[in-house]
Amino acid sequence: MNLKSAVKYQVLDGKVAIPVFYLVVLCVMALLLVSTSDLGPGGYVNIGGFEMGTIIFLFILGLNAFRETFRMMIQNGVSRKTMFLSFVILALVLPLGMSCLNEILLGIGKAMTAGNDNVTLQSAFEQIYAPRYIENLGTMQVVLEGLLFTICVSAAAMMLGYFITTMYYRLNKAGRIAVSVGVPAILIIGLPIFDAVVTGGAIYRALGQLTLFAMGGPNGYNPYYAMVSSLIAFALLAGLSWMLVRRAVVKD
Amino acid sequence: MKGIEVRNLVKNYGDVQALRKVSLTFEENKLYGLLGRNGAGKTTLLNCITGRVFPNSGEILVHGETALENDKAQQKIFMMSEKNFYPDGMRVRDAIKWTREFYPGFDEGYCMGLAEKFGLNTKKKIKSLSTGYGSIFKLVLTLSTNAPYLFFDEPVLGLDANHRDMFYRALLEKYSEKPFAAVISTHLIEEVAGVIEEVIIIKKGEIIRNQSVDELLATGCTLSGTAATIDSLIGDKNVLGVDSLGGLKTAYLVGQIDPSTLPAGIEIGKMDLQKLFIHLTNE
Amino acid sequence: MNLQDERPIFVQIAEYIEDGILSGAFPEDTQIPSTTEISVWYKINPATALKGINLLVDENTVYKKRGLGMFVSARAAESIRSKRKKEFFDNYIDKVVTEAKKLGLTQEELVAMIERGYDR
Repeated sequence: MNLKSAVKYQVLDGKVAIPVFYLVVLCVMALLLVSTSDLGPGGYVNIGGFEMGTIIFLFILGLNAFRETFRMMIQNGVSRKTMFLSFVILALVLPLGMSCLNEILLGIGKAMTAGNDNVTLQSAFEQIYAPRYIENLGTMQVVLEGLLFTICVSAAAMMLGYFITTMYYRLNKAGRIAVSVGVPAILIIGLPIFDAVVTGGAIYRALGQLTLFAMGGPNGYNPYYAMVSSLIAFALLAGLSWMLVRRAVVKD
Repeated sequence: MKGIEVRNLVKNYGDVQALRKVSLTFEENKLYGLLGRNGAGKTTLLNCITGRVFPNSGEILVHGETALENDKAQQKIFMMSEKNFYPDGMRVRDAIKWTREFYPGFDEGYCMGLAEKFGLNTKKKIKSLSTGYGSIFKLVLTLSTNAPYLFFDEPVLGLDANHRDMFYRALLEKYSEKPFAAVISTHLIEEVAGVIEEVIIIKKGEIIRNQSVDELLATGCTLSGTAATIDSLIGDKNVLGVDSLGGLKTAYLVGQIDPSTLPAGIEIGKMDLQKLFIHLTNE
Repeated sequence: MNLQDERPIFVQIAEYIEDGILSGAFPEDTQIPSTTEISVWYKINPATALKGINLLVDENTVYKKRGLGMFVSARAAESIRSKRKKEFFDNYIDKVVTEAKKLGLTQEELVAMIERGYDR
């Protein structure tokens, strides 16, 4: 049953990066708490958003999860199918674990700043979906929904990273250049100019509406919209990645 | 339905036909030599069987099941090749640990003992090993997996004579203790000629010989003597090639000759594998 | 023993063991090296080593003791000697005479050399 071994391998692959990540998070937290512990009256600080760090971290993890692992798996008789499946498992389990850990750290941080009226510690989730929780800030519902939100978004981020790296692996040199230059060019230069000149800003307005909708903004700031959007993105990116992985060959 | 069966395998790299309808079988518990010139298709064949590349057409079966994307089939095979597939930064002892994880039959005690015999430092990073020790690392791992099919692609690359000797002895010892199938792809033909039982010669993507070493060598002979006499004798024979040195000639023939029919001064000898190979694979 | 030798390897293996029996290195009823030992020592395929030992089994020079290995038969040395005496003419004399003729040695010169050989 080498699926178990493949998962074990992928998990242990992160045995340095993940603890380092949390070490950094703890240091930053400690620094912030210490530096804000003695503000005079009138000072007001709102710290938050550190699950963004987790989402970015997992995105980068996804970016690094293919090339070396693929070669190692092939050397040890593991099929691409099993390797891909083990990554999907990882992309669900890691976000779960790290999100739980984040909630715990957030809880600790909040407890430590409870006595200090000048400092408010919040997660990015709480900041984004604040209107939803005016009534019941600080309840289990916030925690639970925040947890689910982070899990879904970071899973999608991880799969996005994996998709990008497998796409680059499969592309030849010309393709890679085309993507590396073309995609930023379109996003940063091409599309904005086109939108401003030709469509009078309609494209960006539409994109903005779409993003808000996906995140549940117009529907009472409903985070479940964001979760579903993320899961759809996860599935889509997983499907695309599998199509790229299944015909990947070992290169030099 | 044991063994690895390859049927009509075709693999092209762009215009180059690396494998042209290759068919063969690797039976259990036999030692095979896979011989061919550079670029003949040896590595491509092994890479197709182990799923490193995809063939254009043809079938590969391991114990009756398709080898393609089949964990159960691939777990029966372990291959060492020139390329290093281990992550940057991984140390020898970690690679050993992971190989044991993926190959439950792995014998760690044997592995560490063999590593010590070769003088392999298991604490070193794989990337930092010399060419020779890189090969030693891989062959030690391969011999320790206890997989029923072992592929050795250029196993003695960079190895000094002492280590090469050690490798053949370790291979034969392990094989005698508990037989397995091994395919050794190498350019050092004479070294390996005694070790292998079966030989497969591949030329420009095609199998030109596939039989036991004894049979293959029995199919031919050498005739040596003065150039004129040799020339007169070989006119009607199937000649693989001829070596000349001044007025002396040696002819490599397919077929056997009755020594009593030879004129005086002509010596008959047996074919050796390397000479046969060279003459079969020359342009 | 070497691979350049004209005769098949398994024949050379058999002869090596016969030599050992003749010289007393392998006395009667003692064990001869196993196929594994021979295979590893000479770096040859075990099947070849086995073929060589089977030659000796066929001539009753060695026999198999269940679970233990191959042992030298009784009076093996004698039977090897008589076998080789019979083969001596073809294996040695014929070749010596052919070579002598090639060199232009007379029969008397050859006989004198043989006598010198015995005197050593």
